Amino acid sequence: MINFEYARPADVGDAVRQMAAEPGAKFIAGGTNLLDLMKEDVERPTKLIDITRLPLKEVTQTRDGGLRIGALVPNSDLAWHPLVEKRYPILSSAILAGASQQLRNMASTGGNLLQRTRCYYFYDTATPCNKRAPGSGCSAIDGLNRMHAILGTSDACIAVHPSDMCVAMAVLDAKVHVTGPKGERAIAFADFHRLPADEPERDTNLAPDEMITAVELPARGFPANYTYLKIRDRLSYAFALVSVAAALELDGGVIKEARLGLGGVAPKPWRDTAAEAALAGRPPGEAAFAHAADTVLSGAKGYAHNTFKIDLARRAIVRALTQAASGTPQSQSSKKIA
Amino acid sequence: MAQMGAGARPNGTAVAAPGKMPITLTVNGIATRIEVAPWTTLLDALRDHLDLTGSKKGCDHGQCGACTVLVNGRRIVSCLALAVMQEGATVTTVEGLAKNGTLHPLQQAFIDHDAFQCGYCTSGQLCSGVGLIGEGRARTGDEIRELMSGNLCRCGAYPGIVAAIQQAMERS
Amino acid sequence: MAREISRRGVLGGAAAAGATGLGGLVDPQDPQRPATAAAQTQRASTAMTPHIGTPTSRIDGRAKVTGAAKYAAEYNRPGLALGPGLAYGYLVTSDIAKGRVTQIDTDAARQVPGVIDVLTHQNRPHMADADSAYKDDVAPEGSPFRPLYDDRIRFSGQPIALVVAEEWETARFAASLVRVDYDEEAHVTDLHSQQGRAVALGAPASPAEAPFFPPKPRGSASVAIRSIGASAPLGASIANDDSVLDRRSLA
Repeated sequence: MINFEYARPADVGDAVRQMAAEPGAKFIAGGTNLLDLMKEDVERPTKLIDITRLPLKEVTQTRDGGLRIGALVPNSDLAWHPLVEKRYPILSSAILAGASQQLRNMASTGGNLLQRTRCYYFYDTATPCNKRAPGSGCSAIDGLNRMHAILGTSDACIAVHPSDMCVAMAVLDAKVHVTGPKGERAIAFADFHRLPADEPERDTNLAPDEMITAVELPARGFPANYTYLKIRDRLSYAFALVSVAAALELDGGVIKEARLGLGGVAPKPWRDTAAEAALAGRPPGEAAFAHAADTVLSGAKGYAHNTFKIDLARRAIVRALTQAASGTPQSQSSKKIA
Repeated sequence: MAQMGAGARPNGTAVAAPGKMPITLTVNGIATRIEVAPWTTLLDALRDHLDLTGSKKGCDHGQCGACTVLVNGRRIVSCLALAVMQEGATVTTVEGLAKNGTLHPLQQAFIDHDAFQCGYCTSGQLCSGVGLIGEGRARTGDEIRELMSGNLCRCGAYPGIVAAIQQAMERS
Repeated sequence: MAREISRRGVLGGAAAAGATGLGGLVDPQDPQRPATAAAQTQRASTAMTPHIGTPTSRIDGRAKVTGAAKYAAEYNRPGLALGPGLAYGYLVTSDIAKGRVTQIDTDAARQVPGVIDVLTHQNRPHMADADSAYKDDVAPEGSPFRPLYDDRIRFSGQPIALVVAEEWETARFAASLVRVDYDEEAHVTDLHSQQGRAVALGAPASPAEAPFFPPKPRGSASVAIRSIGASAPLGASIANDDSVLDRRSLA
């Protein structure tokens, strides 16, 4: 870990100004990913700007019936917030599926969005990695890639985005509010994270001098028919091999609207609106769900150690949609998959 | 084949000794002032600067839970917390669970249920368990196991740990 | 429920459990009197079984649950037997799995304020040359690893330098400034790809040597491997070869 300067800005404007003045600086909130990466010398900020005392910790209802979540709201508070549990239980479930309670107590909403891949080669400064050291190569493509992506990859990078919370936010159509020297703007969730293409070093479309201030959820949370199904090597406390966020609005025995997102399989939280459209108007059932799965996975590409994810994802999508349709969401404490 | 290892001077900056900052914490009920460099974790501040070696360094990367302490009543992994960021916080470590020589009910329950062998994870298990009971969310064995999943025990004392937590929960 | 273990109970149990026909066993209730085999067996079943599967009140229990128990690297205070104060070390480890260190530059590390020294194979204190200095009489065969002994890299992550500093974070930071050049050689970590280079171990010369040789196979290794569904390269290299995987087949 390098020797860094430490500063506590007085307000959001001060934080933004300090960041603009020091290109090598980073904001720090929970620190659960950033400090880990600094201990590994993957991240080497010259200055840490501590934003934990800024007034970004509220969860409030918006005028159009949605929810505005401050960037500093801890993951655990968000998962157990009465409004989230009642109106957006898919978000609560997804957050509780990830990490440990200690980490959820520390991790912030904004930080969860910005967390970086856990690819072993990204973490190991002795190995080539285009995300960490642009142009050095990708060790995972021909290396150990069991945990890596099957969708959205490029020849430069096959790393996976590790967040569970983000998969739920993706299917809920969240919006990310950010601020910077040029003012405030809102980024649609689908546009927040990037695919690697030929610039894998850029994880998101957040400018280097911008800061997340809040995430906004629209009014519809699909509380009646949802699930977050996470398949992993251990029953708890492990990243997803494949995870599925599924939500349905049912009307008269037919799917009126579907939301379908995947984690563990792509460099960004993966939402497939084509599969969602294919489900609309159909009665819930194996045939419709299998077709949706095929749609999601039609472009899937496996590597030497992760082709199993394609079939696993297919089955997980069908199972998740079945859980959502029957109103029996996966419990994150009882590990039985109903 | 020659190969350069990692170890470049970061960002071309000159090497300098980090300045220390004074911070004040309330640790186990005692107002405590220390001077630490920003890169010092809360765990290292407790263990090395305050000689509170009860909290353990198992992995130093937030993965094992042995460093779990309570900050402002919440359980966190102190190896991923910078000490300077905790200015003004109330910190409880395993050394602060007993009161006037009387063990906390969870500490007693750990003894009653043989919830440890080597003891290295125990401090973290205890602080995590106290945090869990305070959260008031876990009721069943499944829920306790899930909400304690951030605390690893290589000796495999998990059944005793869960039983101890259940005992302390019933009696609190 | 927790129970106190009595010293007599432990000794009685241990004695009974040790009744392997070696003779000289005594009655735990009366050490002067030799125990009969029947008495030994009976005492085994009563003396040991109350403790198996029963939670035990441990003698170090209170220390462990209060954080008072001391483990390694927890003696901070100066003035203890360890000397006037502690220094801290941080390892620099090898980026390659096999080869040699051709150059190791510790200048930048040494310049960090608070660094006391940086030890490498080039400036380490004298180390013994014989394997016997690194293991005891009942250690298994082979040469124990000698950290910082020479420039050879034998495994990924091998310690190749130790940075010693007044503070732990200083040592860690200085370690990141150590620059290493390597001559990398190809490493082999797939045991089964090296089966062609396996060396037959031979047979024990006498029954006394038998414990030090692998047991005879009890059936077909290849059938066993196929039955658990193991696939290439494991299956491919062994499927048609029933020879025992002996210890010297490690490449």
